Amino acid sequence: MASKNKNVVSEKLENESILPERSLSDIKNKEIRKQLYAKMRKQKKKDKIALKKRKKTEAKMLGDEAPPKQVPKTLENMRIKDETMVTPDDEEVIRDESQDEMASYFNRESTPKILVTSDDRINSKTRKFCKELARIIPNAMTMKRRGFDLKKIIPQAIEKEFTDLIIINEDRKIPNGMVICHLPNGPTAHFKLSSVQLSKEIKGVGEWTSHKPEVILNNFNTRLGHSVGRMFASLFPYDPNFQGRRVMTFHNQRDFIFFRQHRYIFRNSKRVGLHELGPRFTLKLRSLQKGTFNSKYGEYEWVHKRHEMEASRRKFHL
Amino acid sequence: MAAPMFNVFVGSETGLLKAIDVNKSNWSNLNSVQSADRNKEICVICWDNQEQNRVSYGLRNREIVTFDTETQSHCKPIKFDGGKGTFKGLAKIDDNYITAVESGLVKVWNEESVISEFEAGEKLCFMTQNPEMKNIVATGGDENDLKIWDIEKSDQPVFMAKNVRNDWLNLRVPIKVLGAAFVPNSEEIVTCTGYHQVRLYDPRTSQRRPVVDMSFDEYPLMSIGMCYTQPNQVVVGNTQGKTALIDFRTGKTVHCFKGFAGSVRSIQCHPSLPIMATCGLDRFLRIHHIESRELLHKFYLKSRLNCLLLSKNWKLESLDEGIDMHEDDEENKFADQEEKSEENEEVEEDVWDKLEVMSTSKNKRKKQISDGSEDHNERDLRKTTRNAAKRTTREHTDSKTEVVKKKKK
Repeated sequence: MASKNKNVVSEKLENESILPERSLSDIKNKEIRKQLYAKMRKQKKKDKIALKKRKKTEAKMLGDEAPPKQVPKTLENMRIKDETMVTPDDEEVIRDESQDEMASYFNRESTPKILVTSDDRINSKTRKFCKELARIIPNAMTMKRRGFDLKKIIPQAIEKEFTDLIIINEDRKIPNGMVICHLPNGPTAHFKLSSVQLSKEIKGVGEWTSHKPEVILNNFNTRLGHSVGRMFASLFPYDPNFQGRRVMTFHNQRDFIFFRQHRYIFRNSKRVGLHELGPRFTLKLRSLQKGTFNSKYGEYEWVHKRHEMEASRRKFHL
Repeated sequence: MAAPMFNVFVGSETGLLKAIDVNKSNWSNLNSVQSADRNKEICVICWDNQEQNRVSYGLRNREIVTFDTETQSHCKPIKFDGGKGTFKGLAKIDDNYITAVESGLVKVWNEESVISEFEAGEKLCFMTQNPEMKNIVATGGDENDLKIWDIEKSDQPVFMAKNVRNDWLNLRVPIKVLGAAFVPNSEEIVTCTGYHQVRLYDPRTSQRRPVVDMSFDEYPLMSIGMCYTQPNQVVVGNTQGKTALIDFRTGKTVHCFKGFAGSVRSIQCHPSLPIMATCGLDRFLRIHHIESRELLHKFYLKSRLNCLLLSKNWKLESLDEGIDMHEDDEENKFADQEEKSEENEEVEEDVWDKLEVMSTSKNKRKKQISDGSEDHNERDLRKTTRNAAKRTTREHTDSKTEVVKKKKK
């Protein structure tokens, strides 16, 4: 009888060793589970720090022979190669751009004059946003839409020598679209507008000055990006007042264009301080159309097609 | 070293003529980049001679330049005057140019003299030459419906289209013809319009209204290209870059090609191979296989592209056909193929005639638009499409008797 019992015990032990370690989520008692989980986290952190320390000392010991630091994989650095990427010495693109619709601005033959208008019947947020846009862009004015057709506004705007027309669209009381129409011969860009934060909604926002701003355009590297970047650049006067230290940034990351406004200060030879002035918003290009606004009969240079173009997450267009 | 064999020539908005060697997948600008100028935008392009070794192209500043592929050099530009606006069409007949400008003036001329000229109506949008009968051209434009002209008897058009009937609100349907393509081996012509319609006209009948009228998508159709390898099919492209293969007999979309980002300005298909080339505002030249719908090549050409010209000489190893065509025997081969296919069709037709008529419980009634008001069942519909290529070669009276024959059955 006793020997039989012994056998059973030994079998049990064997079974235990075969079974995998018990998962924390199998523990029914919440208190105990919590404790064990906290313990596990702590241990993991400890291990990680130890590993880092070890690697650092190893690298110091090896000196130049140390294994290279690993670079994390991101969507940006795994980006699918784009053949339309513009190199600065590409003569054909330079020639093309020197004669395009925005060329008169870059040749300093015209000064920007901007008209900001909106959808018909807008709510307070959009109205405030339009006003703020007209305030931050030098030589811009807002006008109520009053139910006029865009195709009737455009010839009048050309007559009054406006160089750009900005239209803000609203849906469910939130601004959600922006159309920038360069006058008199186009092009017209249509953007999705999101994450609009007015200056007042940003904490610790700075006071605004009326100096002509500097413009920073980041990562507009493809041929399409170039065209869009030139459109943004031509909204602001050519010669900024560097005294004002006011800077507008259009930062393109994964085809989303982030707009920020700052005032900078050189603290010393190394450090720069930034003070945000607001507003903030994000744009995403929907289409670029040749000529002035004509969504039905106009010819498109580029249209964003969701199902065809978003098949790969690593493909970017701007 | 011999001159590189270019398969495709593309005219760009910057005034650069681009030549592409598809097999080696390289391309080059034929004129220097320093000369790039918007005023010299290439609007129209055509072959200067039958052998296809010289290319003529018309510029925005109304000059016509010829490029010789053998000597790799440009001729001195020839100035054109008369009418107003830019070139809307360019073709060559013998040694004379046929040009059409925006104001509607169509002129047949050479460097020394003007042979004939006529007005084709204002706001002209295009002029195309019938590739089989070089003296026949078609014109059309904004509020200027399709007209077919014989340049030898140019005082009156051979055919003048009539606008379609008023719509269901009894409103007039606006006209804007943006392109046309002649159906091979027949007098029929297919047009695409700014109001997204594709229309088939048959000048042999007394009916001046379109025989088939269909619509595709909801944006203006900028360009049209006849698909020579598949009967009754055309390729159309719109301002948003939607390009589709359309059957103009049944009025249905056969296939939508993918990957276009911008407006398609020009489409051309190879006369004997199932190859299609497209270019447009998205700065890409794309070459598709029509039957397998595959994208064979894609070239980024740096400028917005206006017009293209496809060479007959083509070598495709990836295709089943694998035909290596050369300039000299190409024409003959093409003719041979046609004959053969005609024979085949005749044999096929006999088979169809011998077949018994099966009575099906689901007797779907479908309207065959192309034959006016006759109704056929589904099998007959299939048969008619199969015979369509053949029927086009026959006299119209013949085709009428055929219909009668079918009715008897």
